[in-house]
Amino acid sequence: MAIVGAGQTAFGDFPEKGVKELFAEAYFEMLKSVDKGLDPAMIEAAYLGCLSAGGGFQLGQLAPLLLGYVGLPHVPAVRLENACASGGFALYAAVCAVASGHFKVVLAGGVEKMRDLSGQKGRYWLGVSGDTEYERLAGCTFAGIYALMANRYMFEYGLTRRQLSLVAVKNHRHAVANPKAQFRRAVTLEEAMEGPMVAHPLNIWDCSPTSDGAALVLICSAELAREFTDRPVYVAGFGAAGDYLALHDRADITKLRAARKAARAAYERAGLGPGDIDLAEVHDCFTIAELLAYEDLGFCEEGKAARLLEEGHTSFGGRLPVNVSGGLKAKGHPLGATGCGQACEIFAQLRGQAVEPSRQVPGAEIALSHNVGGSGGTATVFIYRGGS
Amino acid sequence: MAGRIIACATYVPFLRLTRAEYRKAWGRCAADISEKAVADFDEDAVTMAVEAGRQVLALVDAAGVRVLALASTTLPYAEKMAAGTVAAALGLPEKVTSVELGTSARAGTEALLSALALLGGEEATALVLAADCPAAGPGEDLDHALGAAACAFVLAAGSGGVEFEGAASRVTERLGERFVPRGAVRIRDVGVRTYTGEAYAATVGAVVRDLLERLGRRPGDYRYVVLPQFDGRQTASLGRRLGFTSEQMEAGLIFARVGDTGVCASLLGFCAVLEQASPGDRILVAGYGSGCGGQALSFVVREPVLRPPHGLHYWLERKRYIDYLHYLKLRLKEQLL
Amino acid sequence: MGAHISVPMYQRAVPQRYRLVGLRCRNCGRVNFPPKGVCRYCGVGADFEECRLSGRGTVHSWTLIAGAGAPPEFAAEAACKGSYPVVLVELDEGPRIIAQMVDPPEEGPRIGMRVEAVFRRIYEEEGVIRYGFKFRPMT
Repeated sequence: MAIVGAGQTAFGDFPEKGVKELFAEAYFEMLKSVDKGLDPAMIEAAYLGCLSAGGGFQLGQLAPLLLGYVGLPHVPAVRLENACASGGFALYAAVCAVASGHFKVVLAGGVEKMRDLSGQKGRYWLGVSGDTEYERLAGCTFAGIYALMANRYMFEYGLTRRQLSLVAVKNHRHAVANPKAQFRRAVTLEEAMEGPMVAHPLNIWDCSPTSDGAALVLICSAELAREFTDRPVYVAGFGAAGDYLALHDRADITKLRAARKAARAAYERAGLGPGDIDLAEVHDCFTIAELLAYEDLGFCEEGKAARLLEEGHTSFGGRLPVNVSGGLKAKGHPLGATGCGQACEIFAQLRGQAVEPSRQVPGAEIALSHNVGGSGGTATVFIYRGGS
Repeated sequence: MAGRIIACATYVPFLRLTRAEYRKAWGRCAADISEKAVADFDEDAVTMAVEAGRQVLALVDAAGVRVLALASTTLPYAEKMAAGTVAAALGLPEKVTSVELGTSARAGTEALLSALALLGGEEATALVLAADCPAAGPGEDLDHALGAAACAFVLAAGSGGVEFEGAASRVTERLGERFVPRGAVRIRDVGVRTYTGEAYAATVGAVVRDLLERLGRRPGDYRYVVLPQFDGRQTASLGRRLGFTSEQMEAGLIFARVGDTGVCASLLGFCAVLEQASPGDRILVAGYGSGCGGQALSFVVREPVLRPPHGLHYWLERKRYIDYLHYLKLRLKEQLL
Repeated sequence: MGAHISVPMYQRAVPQRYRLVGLRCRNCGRVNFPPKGVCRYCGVGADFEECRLSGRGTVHSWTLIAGAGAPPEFAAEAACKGSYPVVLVELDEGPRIIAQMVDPPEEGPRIGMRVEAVFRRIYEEEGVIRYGFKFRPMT
């Protein structure tokens, strides 16, 4: 399978655009990105990730609504929902559909409109994807759940408050060079350490924002790829897995078994290992999540994530830059759009098209994306190979 | 009506507000307290009743409870029994006979008498739960004393234990003493302190004298006397007028540390006494409500009650002080919801 | 705005919420709480007997939820308390469960702290008070 087109809106705050307008913007950008052009009539199916459909106005049959808006009313389209991993699962479903041979050209994407909501309603939606009956009724949104993971990790491995903030500092620094990012502003370590508390030890700078945005990629079979572009990005490996939804049912809360299983499947399929990855877009919904991802993806040994970060290996210019887009933390996290947004970034990176040169990872050939649902109830991992 | 108390337990919420906080906020404290207990945001009469109930049910078999008497002026629903919630939380049999009392702070002693009556001579136990967290308008003097607490008693038929000897009861008509209009949640009164004091002394005094006369006793026959405590000075002064000494009163006086605990205003002191009473001791406990009714009960200790690991002293010492602003937020929480 | 847990749905969990009724797997003997369709431990047992948990356990992890991290139905509580602690507790019978902590010590919760379940108001929706368990430090 190959990605031959990708488009995404900027992530952020767009009071003038709804779910449909955001989707259309990503769609038209995707069309433009197909080097040799795409006849939309070739699109055989669409898989779209979305959690709340703009605060719940269209929880049923969102996908046909969006496809109809861009003139494709008859394409079989479906909305997939796995909270923050909705986009990753849309991509996974699209890749599986093409891999099966049933379809040759499909859309995978996602959209989320979160900035229409008041803080209260926003937090309502941020608390519907854990084990609602227990985690939410304990008074937790995901910030609280990740805080429980962070505190346990700190207890077991001696991670410090400062090290958590270093993740935010790095990703905000990266986002400065990304025109699609919600926060194109660097933060100092002092700022990041002193933010207002959300769920101890996580402060506001440890948390990804609520965002509006949409992202789409065009997937086709490898044989067809050259009909669309001379620079396809191949999907070399893909994996998805699940776990007990509730944190309390998991034996070890400092690891995401879903991410580990998904990564293993993706590495195996690609015939590659963590050492082969030139850049990664990982699911840093909270700073702790990026550190857990380093370990879950095999970038370092257990308990060594902070060292990997502090030694600069995951910064732009390091040997394995992570979240050069700014990540969920600074690029933004429009839940359903996030997973395909990561693929959009990698599509640009592996084609040498990261718009601002200061963001382009030189010579990048192999990339990985990692998308997690909630606290790890679901996860997808993709490995991409540049085709030029 | 025979019967006995075989176990008791208390619960006092963790939060405390001191007299000093009142003085900081209002320039003075209208109540004769050093500090008072405050129910937390997520506590109410039901949760406090369960706290006390769980402790006594660790001492006796819940399956043997046939009667549940619940006393509170602050049950969370105006209509909907709280007994079901309490029974479900405590794992009591659904076949329990329940009563709920709460049109005045006298409901505490009413619950004891009702449970004894309902138990009859049956070979079973009755659970009496009293829990209250009364509130008045934060700007009113009346609110300064209002505290929170719960207590639980297990009663059984027959003799032994802390044996019930008899009771006296009266109703009177006094206008404007401590009332909550239907639909409201906050206590009011007419705010005339001497009038309040006179009503209290007259009503409680009368039932205590009735009881002594009925049983042919003199004040000196009692080792412990627990009068209802809505104000420290008032209670001490009535005790003296009735001929009781400070030695008889002292063990049951806890107002200054928890405030006015509504239906627990005498039962909490009664528990304090039960925790230290020895066989042979006689105890007089009185209840009082809204200017309009009083009760006095007499007990004799044959054998000490069963007590949970944590007595009243533990609950009084387990505390965290809050400032007046925090207290105000708790008092106004309905407006925050 | 609540979590859309309907009253009948809450009602069905009353044994768990009011008195911590768990399910003991007849295959492996371990206790599942909250209930599962298939035993979370042996992965095969689907036949259970009810058992009441002691409510005692040890803090496995903790956090303090500030207003910005509270779901809307807990916003007033967070506003009133400033923040509230949430603990992931490993119960003595084995299962872990998440709940709020009440009456925390001044220095806050810590991992390894012994706690016991208490009965408290959880939140209110449609005028119906939802009661359930929280944890309190043991002394």
